[in-house]
Amino acid sequence: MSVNGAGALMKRSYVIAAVLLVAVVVIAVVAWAMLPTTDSSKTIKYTKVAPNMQADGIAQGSIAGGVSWEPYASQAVLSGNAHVLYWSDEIWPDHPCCVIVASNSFLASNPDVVKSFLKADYLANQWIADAIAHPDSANYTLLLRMGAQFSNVNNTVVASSLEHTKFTADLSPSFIDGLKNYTNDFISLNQVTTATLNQRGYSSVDDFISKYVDDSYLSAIDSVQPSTSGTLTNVNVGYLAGDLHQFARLVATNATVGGGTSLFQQYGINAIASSAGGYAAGPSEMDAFATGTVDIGYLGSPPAILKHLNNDIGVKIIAGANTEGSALVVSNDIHSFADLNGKVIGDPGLGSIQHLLLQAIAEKNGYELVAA
Amino acid sequence: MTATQKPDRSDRSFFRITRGQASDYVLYAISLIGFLAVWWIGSIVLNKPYLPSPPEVLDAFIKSFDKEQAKAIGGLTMGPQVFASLQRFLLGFGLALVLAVPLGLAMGYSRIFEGLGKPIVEVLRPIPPIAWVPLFFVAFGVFLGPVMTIFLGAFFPILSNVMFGVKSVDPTLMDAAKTLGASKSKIFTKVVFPYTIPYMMTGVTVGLGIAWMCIVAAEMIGARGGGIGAIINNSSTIGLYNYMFAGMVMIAILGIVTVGISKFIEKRVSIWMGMK
Amino acid sequence: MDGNEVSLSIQHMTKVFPKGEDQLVALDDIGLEVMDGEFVCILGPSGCGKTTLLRIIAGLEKKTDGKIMLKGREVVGPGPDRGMVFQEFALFPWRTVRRNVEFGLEIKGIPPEKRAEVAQKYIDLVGLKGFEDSHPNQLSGGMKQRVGIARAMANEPAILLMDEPFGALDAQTRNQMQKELLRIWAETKKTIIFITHSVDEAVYLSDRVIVLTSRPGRVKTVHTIELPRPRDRASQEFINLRKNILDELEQQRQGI
Repeated sequence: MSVNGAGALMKRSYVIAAVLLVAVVVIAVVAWAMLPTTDSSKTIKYTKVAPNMQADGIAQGSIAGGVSWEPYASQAVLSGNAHVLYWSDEIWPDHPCCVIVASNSFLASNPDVVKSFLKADYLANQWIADAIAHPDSANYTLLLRMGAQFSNVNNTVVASSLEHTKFTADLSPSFIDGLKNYTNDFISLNQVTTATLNQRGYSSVDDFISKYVDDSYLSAIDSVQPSTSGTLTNVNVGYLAGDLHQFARLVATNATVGGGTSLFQQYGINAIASSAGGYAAGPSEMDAFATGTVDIGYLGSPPAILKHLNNDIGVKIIAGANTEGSALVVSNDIHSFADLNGKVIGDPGLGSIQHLLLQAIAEKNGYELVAA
Repeated sequence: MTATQKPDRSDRSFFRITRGQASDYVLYAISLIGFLAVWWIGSIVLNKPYLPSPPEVLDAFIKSFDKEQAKAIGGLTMGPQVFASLQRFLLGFGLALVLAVPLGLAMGYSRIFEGLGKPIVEVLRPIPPIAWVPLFFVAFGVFLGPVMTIFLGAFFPILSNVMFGVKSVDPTLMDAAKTLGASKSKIFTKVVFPYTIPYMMTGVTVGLGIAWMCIVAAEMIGARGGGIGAIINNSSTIGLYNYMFAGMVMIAILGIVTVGISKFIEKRVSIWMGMK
Repeated sequence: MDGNEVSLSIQHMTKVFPKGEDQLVALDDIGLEVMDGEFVCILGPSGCGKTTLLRIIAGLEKKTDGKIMLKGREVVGPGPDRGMVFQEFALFPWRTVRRNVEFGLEIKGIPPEKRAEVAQKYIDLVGLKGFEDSHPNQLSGGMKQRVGIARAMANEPAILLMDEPFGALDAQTRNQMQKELLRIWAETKKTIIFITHSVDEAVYLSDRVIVLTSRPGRVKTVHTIELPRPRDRASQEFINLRKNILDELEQQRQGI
């Protein structure tokens, strides 16, 4: 009797199924074995959360805290759900933050326009300092309103942000040192290699910074006069969305500040936003430089350093924009850094100064920063 | 030709490779080597940061498994990310299979089901699964978001192929079953369903390819929750394109392996069922 | 022939296809009887409706009017009491020979051991012993049709309907299968209704040949063939019979 025929078929299907099952199990076991042994003591996790979403994230409990630029740190605090654990200047006193970057081709073709730009920027910073020094003045009110509109926060938040940010374009020695420190941080993280440095034509970090930062334009602005010709030169200007570190740009585009025409216009510049609403983060702005979409831009110094080195983007740092002005805010049930053990912190993403800040804070406390 | 010949079972053996197939493999090898050569030369000639050479990519690939080295891409090591992507993949694909096969059978066999289901399917199908990613991330979170995207991607090919299979059943077979006493439901289980199995396997193979595309795209757009897509995304942010390529290579490997397995099963099922 | 019992009786059967505004009368007032154990051929030119007739008997198509009685009971719809063998074999490709033959028994719910026993009996009967575990795509045309016959017969139907079963085979295989069929019929004494458009085949195989006209299909003539089997194609009676029927068909074709 041949029930064997059917039996043989059944057997074959069982064999196939068994082989597949074994294969899947083997793959799963191998993959599991490759999971790094997480030392659960003393680790902090990070995940990418846009700064303007961090306050909500903390309120909802999806993150225990966040690192961001002003005004979003103040926003989180003033929302009542969080408090500042560290201001960035507590970790790195007087540290450089945002810088003004210009494309090499624009520098070559329009050096005078660049100088005029920096002059307008400089005057804007002065105006800001003056307004802050006179909190009862109409200028101060105007300043708050501008910031609130730009970042979509309220005036109180803006006022708080101003307290912890220093607006200056000055490329002081400590500023330059700070930039060198960032570069060294990247090297220790393997995000930049000395091989790459050499490839770009720099023999060392010092050599790199001395060539990459060009203060010749900034030094020349004393003699720059307002424009006398009626024509404006178009300049594609990049900036980060909602980032008040770059307040000077905002002020320089405002007509009221200039008394009818904006400061940029007075110096013969038509500042066109290269990306409506600004870029989400520094690296994206650097990518835009690479495609020639931006002539002069405001962005964080770490991305400016990182992407220039890794992607050979032809730009130079020609001025600062601000120092300090970032913070690690945490939800109100966190009272010390130890409470953050094993928890998730939001940050704007790799390569940003806020990420480096988080890294530095973790190391300072003897913790390890890992991806969530 | 009388019924005294012994049946020929040689082509039913599990592992049989013809001379034709061997020369195919030689062609494949030549093509791949050629591709590598062009890439290598191109990367040297162009000398751009965004086109690393094969050795650089291999180097990054190996480094990506090491925790220390992977600090460069934000601490995401390849092993756990592959696991994360695989997890999502298996879940999303499994869900698609479980839902699309019965629905395809129903829609192929019953006019009512087809009439009800078709408009919805035709409206949803053209929307690329990737377009749903931002919504799914918000609605389903960091893990299930990509899972649902994969589900959508794999669902439609499987559904279509199963439906097509059901409709392709030779009506004479169904007639034969009727004259052998089969009721409508018995015809379905004993004739229609087995007939559709090879078509289902084809749908699975197609769906697999799409699913891998979806998962990487979803992880890249979401940029949270890890996965190979996150490695690719992070590499781009930092500008370390060799790691980005390494991630893409990993996806290619996973895709080839899974689709290859599926195609193998597909072929063997067809032969084994005598429907080559 | 065993007894004079009527197995199948068709009375005033009509089949009409709607065709746009008009209608096409495929079969017009068909009446015929088939005796128990008889081998009957239905013969006619292409398109005369003989396949439609068979399918209506099998229950695969609905008649427009009339009655069909099988062993005294009216039949509507398909069922295992009327087994069918198809020109295209219609074997289930994913099943082995044995499992194809067992199909009807599975449907009936017969347990595996009994099924295997019955299936083996019929596989042996059609001469396929040793091929039980082959798949249809490993078999020749003739072998496939043997499986088709075994499968239909394993269900032990009251009558066996055969729709040009040897039409897809080459001439030699065809002749061989005709002999085989007669042998099987002699052993099982099954009532068979056989459709063909080959006069030669009809005269060789059947007890009676029913000739249908075409469009609309009507029973034109019924020829009784009393030659003893096995029949000699070269014999004078065979040749005469064949010529008569051929002439009849030719007249029909010319519209006389």
